[in-house]
Amino acid sequence: MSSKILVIDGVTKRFGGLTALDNVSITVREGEFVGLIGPNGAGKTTLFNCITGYYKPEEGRIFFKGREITGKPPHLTTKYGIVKTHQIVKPFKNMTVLENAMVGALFGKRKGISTGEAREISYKMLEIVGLQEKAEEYASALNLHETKMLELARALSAEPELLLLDEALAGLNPKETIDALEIIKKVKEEFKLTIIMVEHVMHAVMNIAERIVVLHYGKKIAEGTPQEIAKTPEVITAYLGEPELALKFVKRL
Amino acid sequence: MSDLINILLINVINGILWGLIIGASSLGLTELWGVMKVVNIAQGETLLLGAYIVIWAYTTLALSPLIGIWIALVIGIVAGAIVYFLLLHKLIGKVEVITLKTEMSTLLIMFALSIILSNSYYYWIGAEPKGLGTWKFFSSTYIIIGGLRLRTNEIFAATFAIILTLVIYLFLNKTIIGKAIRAVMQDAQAASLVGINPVKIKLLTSILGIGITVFTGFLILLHEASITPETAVKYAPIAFAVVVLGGLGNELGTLIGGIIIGFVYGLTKVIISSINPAILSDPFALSTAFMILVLTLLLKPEGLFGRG
Amino acid sequence: MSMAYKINFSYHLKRPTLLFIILTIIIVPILKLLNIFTTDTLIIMMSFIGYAAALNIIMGFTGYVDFGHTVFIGISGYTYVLLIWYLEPFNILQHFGSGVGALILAILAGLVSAVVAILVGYPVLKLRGAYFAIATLGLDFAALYIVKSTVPALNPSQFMAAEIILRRDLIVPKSMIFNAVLVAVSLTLLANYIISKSRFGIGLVAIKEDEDAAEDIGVPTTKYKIIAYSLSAFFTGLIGSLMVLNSGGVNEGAFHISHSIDMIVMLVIGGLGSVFGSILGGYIYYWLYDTLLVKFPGINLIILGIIVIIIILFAPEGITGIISKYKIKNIKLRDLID
Repeated sequence: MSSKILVIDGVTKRFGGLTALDNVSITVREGEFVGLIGPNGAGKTTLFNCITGYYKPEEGRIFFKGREITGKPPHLTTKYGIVKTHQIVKPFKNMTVLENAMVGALFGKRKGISTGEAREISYKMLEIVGLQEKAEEYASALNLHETKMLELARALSAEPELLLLDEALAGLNPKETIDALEIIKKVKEEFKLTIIMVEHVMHAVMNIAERIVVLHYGKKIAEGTPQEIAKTPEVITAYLGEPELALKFVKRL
Repeated sequence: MSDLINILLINVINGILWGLIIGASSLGLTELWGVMKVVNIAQGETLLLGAYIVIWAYTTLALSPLIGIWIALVIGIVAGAIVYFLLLHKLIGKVEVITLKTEMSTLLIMFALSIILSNSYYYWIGAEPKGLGTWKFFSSTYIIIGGLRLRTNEIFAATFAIILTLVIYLFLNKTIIGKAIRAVMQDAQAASLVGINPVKIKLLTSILGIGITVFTGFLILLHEASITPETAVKYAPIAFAVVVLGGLGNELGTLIGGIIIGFVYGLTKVIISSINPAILSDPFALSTAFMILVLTLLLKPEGLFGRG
Repeated sequence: MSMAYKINFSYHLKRPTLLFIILTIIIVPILKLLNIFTTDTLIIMMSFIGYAAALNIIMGFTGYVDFGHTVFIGISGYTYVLLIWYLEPFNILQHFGSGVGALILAILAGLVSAVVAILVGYPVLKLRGAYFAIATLGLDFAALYIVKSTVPALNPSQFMAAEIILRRDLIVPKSMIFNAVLVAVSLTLLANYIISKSRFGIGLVAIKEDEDAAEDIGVPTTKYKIIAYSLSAFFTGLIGSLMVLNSGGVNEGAFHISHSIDMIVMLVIGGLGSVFGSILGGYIYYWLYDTLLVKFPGINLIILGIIVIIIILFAPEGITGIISKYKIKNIKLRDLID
């Protein structure tokens, strides 16, 4: 039984009068692939932001590898080993593709890294996501799919242990989606990552994740394997529609 | 003891009167900033434009300032349109969401405008102090209220300020055009979706913002004995302080912001001169306005009444 | 995997920029020796370049527009003059000939600015965009009025209207000031070079590109911004102190917005965000300022303002941006300059 890598304990996040997260508790084990789903506004990105430290929760605590990280700023949580990709991609537009990744390498987990070492790591990550041909191009020249791969390469260059993917598949066509999923699987395998993935592309996340957590209006309403989730009444009501439709998604594996 | 109270009262009241002036003269700024996210760095120079026009009308055309201000208003409206088309349209005309980069570009362009205006004043009008001389609103220069001597010009300015603020507030909140401007301020994208033409609104805001500022320039004349182009440098940052404190795009907030800053100014003057007469109380009191500006930006950047 | 590819760090100072810096440091003394320009002209010219380079550290690298940067000229200027005033028994300036004494005191005065920058930087750098710009303006004016009101109290007979004039018996030869300014400006340029080659510099540029993404990927944004701000303040104060020495005294004009205008215009003309651009901007602005002053006195600044507007509307990347678009023999110039 692998150890708990991330423990979210009773986290509540409020913005003025709006409660975005309500007493959410989730435990993630090392090496798991967890899918985080829920309708828009359910609090998924907010949860990610609480984990990375972009937001500080009003209540509750978050532990990474046994160490409390509640409210620690993102640049620190990155150094501990938690890296997030963005829902709306944020490339460094006036830098080249390689330089973008190098920022990740230079400021990631490894301390005292030299430019040469950073270059090596970054190039390797570009190769893994398939962007090595475009290493010298400016990031602004990439299309959406390539930019998403760049986000991933940059995140990987920081050498995370826990990777948070925020709607990494949004806006991709079916072929690109399959490619992206392959790369994500490969990357998880190669770097022994733990991954939490927020996704709306149902068939993808239900396919690739071992465990699904469902948020709705800031509350965790269900947790379990994709098959279990597809049959849970609350989830179906909130999100998936009819039971048969839900099962069809799961069968599409 | 009653002497001290007297000094306290007169400084605070004069401070508040001045506060009303700076509040009203910042109305244009708060509209421009709140609606279009354009910070009029040339705020001081814009005010002076109105002031100089009134002086010119008075000294050259022998027109009472009460008529001169309407000439200033017309010129201000035209200026607002020119500023929009020449400077702003290219940067923000068609844009729905104003990015950081655009914001900084407009900032720098208004910066350049202030350089141009300021040096134009030095060149064509000169650095010598100019003013309305002996013109006064009421037959006597002072009136006595409750044992305190107050300048009539200042009282007139304060009253004018309040009325103007109310007029602008009503226009922007009760008329259709005003509501359209409010809509664009809240959400430009949504506004265009419901058929409000953002370009027209931006043009209108520019006319309003600059026009009002030019119009209120003469209030400065009622407070300062005379003005030089350098006066712009004094009043611009104060206007920013007023607007930030009050909340961007909020007319009543601006007036109240002005009152608060004026009050603190007057109070500080008295306190400093009684604690240590060697310290020049006027500049020190002025510095409080900027401390308020910075503190507000740090603690409550949307201001007291901001729309967030 | 291959190591044979060539890395082309856009934000890495390319050789031409380094050459430019070295050229400046060498050519200026040569110009002085050959008497092509007067010492005073060279001092002023160097100060323009130095100010531009100093402001570049915060504004060029991180993209934070600092309208109130002149506050550091004021703070350091007054500190410097007060240091000289109160250290007169020790005769520091005379003590170390050829400008070393002047430089040491200027470094101290610069450090005062650096400390102030760290203290105010922490809260103020939390603001973004226009709010930061206005806040810095507020700081400048607050400092101006505080100095204006309290300095006379220090010595009412001598410091009237907050103007402090260096003692008349203090003879400061121009060549001494020239040496000190040369060293100061060289240090500023070298600092720019070192930053642009460092991990720190890359982090700053990442902040400029996308501050949230930079923080998310591990750049300690708050710490870096404060360091950049305080370095920028230090060099501005360093040069400002020496320019105050050059003027023979300091008054509230040290806080005047015109210095901020100079510095920002230099960066805008040269090209915001590039070290090369900041130096180029310094030279061009100096030349432009001088030419306009001679040819169109009175309206010179009006023309300058119009030029700035044209640049912002039609060439927002400044002259460096224009140059970047061209190629020489298939090497894109964009790749050569930083």
